Amino acid sequence: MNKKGDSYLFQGILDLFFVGVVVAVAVAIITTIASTTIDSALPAGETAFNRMYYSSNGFSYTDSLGVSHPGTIDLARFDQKVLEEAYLQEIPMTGMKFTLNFDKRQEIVLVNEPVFKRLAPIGEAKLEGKGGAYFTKKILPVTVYDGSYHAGTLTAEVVASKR
Amino acid sequence: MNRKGDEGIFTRLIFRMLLAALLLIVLLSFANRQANLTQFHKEYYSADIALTLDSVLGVPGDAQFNYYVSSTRTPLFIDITKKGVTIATAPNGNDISALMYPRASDLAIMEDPSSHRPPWLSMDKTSQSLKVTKTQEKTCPSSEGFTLQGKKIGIFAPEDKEVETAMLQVLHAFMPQSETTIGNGDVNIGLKRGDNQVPRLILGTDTPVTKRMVCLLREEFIGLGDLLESDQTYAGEGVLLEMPKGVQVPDAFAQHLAAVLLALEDTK
Repeated sequence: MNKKGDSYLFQGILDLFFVGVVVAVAVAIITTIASTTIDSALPAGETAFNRMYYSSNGFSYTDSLGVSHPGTIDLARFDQKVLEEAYLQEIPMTGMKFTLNFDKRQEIVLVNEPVFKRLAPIGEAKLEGKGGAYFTKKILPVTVYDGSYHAGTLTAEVVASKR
Repeated sequence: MNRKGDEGIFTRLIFRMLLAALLLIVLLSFANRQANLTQFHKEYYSADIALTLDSVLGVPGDAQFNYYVSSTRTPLFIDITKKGVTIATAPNGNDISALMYPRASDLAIMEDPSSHRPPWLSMDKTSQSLKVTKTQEKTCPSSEGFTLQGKKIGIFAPEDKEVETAMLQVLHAFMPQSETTIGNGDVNIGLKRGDNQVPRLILGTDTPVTKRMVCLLREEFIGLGDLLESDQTYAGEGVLLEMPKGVQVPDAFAQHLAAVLLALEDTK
């Protein structure tokens, strides 16, 4: 190609670059102004806790009618495998850690362990915006059932990522 | 300028115009989606339906919940699977910008595939399963066993401007206050704006009528829905209904309200 041809090619590439920059800036500005992202981390975290604590396939004691009794923890169901089967693992957004203290015993169960370990420090740091996480910690008085009843406490730590 | 120079300028001009057209198309397409709130609706409904399903699954016993999907400018196609809730603007995966919100469930979800754009999602949860059905109408328990007892009931029109607020239109439903027999033998129940003359009413939650009313009123008429649901004692000022400004009170609703008021009268 001759010199003029090279010059046109160079100018064309330069044009393309600047138009690309303009498009990127315009889309970024509009996206910022008209943001439609919904932060569902808080309800996602609370719903995840409710699933474990209230539903019949969580760790609460469930009677023969299929009705669960929140506040009474069935020790046989307070198991990582049981709970992770109840709460599908492929959910990438929420992780939970439950600590049960009763009769000088301590039982710890993690649901979605990799997610919890990755997000818990971010959640505790209370970072805002995308990449942050919602973190909540509840301590509840409970009754533990393992054939007999024991008084105890349940510490629930729930973390959910902000999309 | 020579011919080669002209050609170069012309080529660059065409190139720039094409790029400008491309930029315009991209931005207008984006702006159009924003203006129609399509993206927002996808985000909102995928998250809201998924979290609602998980919340219903979290109920300790059996539960029924009717979820209303507002009509949107762009029709939405809802696909519920075990993995998540997908909202799209075209069926069968033809929308490349469809949004999926993940959900957690070990319980089976069945759905009626015959209707893709339902206004209602009826969620029936038992201890073993959660069944979601797309319906054109809300499914509510029947109010069998209840009759209007042949009485005529009137509901005062909601044109009471005094109670209108900036955000809400408030409808006063008037309690049956007196009964008189009119000329043709029908019983006329006078409805008067609630005041101290209205007797104290205790709302029961277990009557078929109340259950049906709670179901019917849950979304549109939250005031009465909550009132009935919470089994409160309500005295003095009649029943206040709060609804979004501009909502018309349909005749059917007035009839249902009348039925409830009569039922409440019976529980005194």
